[in-house]
Amino acid sequence: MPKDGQDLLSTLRGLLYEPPSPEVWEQLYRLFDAWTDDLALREIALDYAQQHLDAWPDKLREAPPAWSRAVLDEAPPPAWRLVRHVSLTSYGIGPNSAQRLADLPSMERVVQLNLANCNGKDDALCALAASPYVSHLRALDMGVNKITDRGLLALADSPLLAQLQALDLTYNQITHLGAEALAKSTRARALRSLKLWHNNLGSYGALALAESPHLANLEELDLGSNNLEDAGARALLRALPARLPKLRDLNLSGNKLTEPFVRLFQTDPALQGRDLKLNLSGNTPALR
Amino acid sequence: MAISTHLTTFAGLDVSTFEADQALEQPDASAWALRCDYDHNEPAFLDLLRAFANTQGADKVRALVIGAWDGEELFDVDSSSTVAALAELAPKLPSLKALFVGDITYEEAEISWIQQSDLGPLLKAFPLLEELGARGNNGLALGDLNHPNLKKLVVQTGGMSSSLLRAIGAAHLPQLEHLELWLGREEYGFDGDVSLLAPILSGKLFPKLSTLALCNSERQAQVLTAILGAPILPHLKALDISKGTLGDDDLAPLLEASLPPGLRLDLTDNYLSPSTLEALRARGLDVFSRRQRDPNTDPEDRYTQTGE
Repeated sequence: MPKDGQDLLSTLRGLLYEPPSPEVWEQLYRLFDAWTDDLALREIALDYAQQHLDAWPDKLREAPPAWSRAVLDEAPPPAWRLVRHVSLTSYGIGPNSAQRLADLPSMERVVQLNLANCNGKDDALCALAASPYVSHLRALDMGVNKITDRGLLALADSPLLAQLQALDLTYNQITHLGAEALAKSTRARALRSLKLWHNNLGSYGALALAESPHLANLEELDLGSNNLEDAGARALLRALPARLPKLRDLNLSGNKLTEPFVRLFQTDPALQGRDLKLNLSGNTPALR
Repeated sequence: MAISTHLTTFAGLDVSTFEADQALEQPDASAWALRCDYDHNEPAFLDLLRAFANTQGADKVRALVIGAWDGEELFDVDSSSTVAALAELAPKLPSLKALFVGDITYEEAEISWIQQSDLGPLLKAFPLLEELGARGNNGLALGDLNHPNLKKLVVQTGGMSSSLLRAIGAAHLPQLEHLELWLGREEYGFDGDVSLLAPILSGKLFPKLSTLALCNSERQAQVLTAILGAPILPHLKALDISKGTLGDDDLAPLLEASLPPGLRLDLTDNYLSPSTLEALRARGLDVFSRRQRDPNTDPEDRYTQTGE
């Protein structure tokens, strides 16, 4: 038997006093999915829920798959405003749906957006970069897509970059040109995590990142499998004390560093006493 | 070492072989195997398949194992007719969650002789399928590999084609938790390189993947190195690099790597010495190794467990 609005409100109160968890979040969004009557009370309930959920981690507030699809295909559900994390991973987004996402005012509260493995191209990143509705976005994952330098150039020139703390462009088609654009952008200062595993930055790309005066907040940098040679890695090593003082995790695996250089790198004075997780595995050229 | 026995368990169930005219008692308590006996085509496989699907209780069957689909000319008959018939019979098997196509021993046909086909129609016909296994590389395709519910994918080959690896690297399997690929040897069809594994190793392709087997490879050391530098590594609970060509020297990066706590590591059937395995265990790794081949074997003379 369907519950009336007062029953739903009472259930909502109970849920909001539970500790944050994926299970409670699921019950919450199911409750709002079921709330089809007494719409005025539902609005009050949404306001009430929103206040309580502000204390929750953003990651827990992930749109259920049906809601995410609805955002692309039709109007978002009323409770969409509770969402902070949207994942459309493995959901193909063509240029039209990327533009639709970028044009949605309901993206305004989204903090984390996962568009990995979406067949996304530069148009998707360009649309987001030009969107006026992504002002709260802090983490963008567009790994395993077909982003090239053009997409990264657009991002480097966008206010969106100035907000991003985490950018994941793993397994795309970015070269040193994209890296240079990012490195030169004064908007890159908020970045704490930059993942560019398996692109084609080469040593010039690493050099550009190493010489950037704008990446001092980086804590995590993944340049694995990027055709880096010793010169690029050496530039990063030299940049560690001044340009990358907060770096805690550096992946340079699967590049073209020579064995003597890898040994030198591991024993360099710049690393001594520094809390840095360093991955230099798989750098024998014959193994690539 | 070739595959000499049929599956005895599948999808957590004991395998029972279905005979023509047999009643299905407790249809959901077994994985049902259908196969032609060697040198016999009576009954014809498609008749056996139709009889099975029309038997009372077939609607409750959860797991199905397709064995030799021809008793006399298996080397010349591919799986396409079987695939088409099974896809057509899908409405009679609404509970099917697990399917293996090609449970064929070396006595019936060596793994590199098995003639497979495009199994994509099965993925379309069984949208609730959670586990798919296939053996044999020849002709094997998996359609566009876009399936909403598949949790486990196993592809056993003596040499995996680059086209198949590329297809897997472009898949959309949002629920996939377990991926097992037998990569094999160039001699038997492996025509790619380790870089084709990059989408899988990115950690983005299959967001729920926690069990990864990239095994039976003549480039097992390269595969291991690629995994150790890849974003997928922290997400893994189990890593299977068994049946390959690893020697003691190849494990040096593993001894230095930062591995996820509790990672279960299957190193069975490589060329590792007891002292190396012990050193790994001393590092706190949960190492599984049923047997090893002679660790003194020259690297040039090492082979995958399964090839021909």
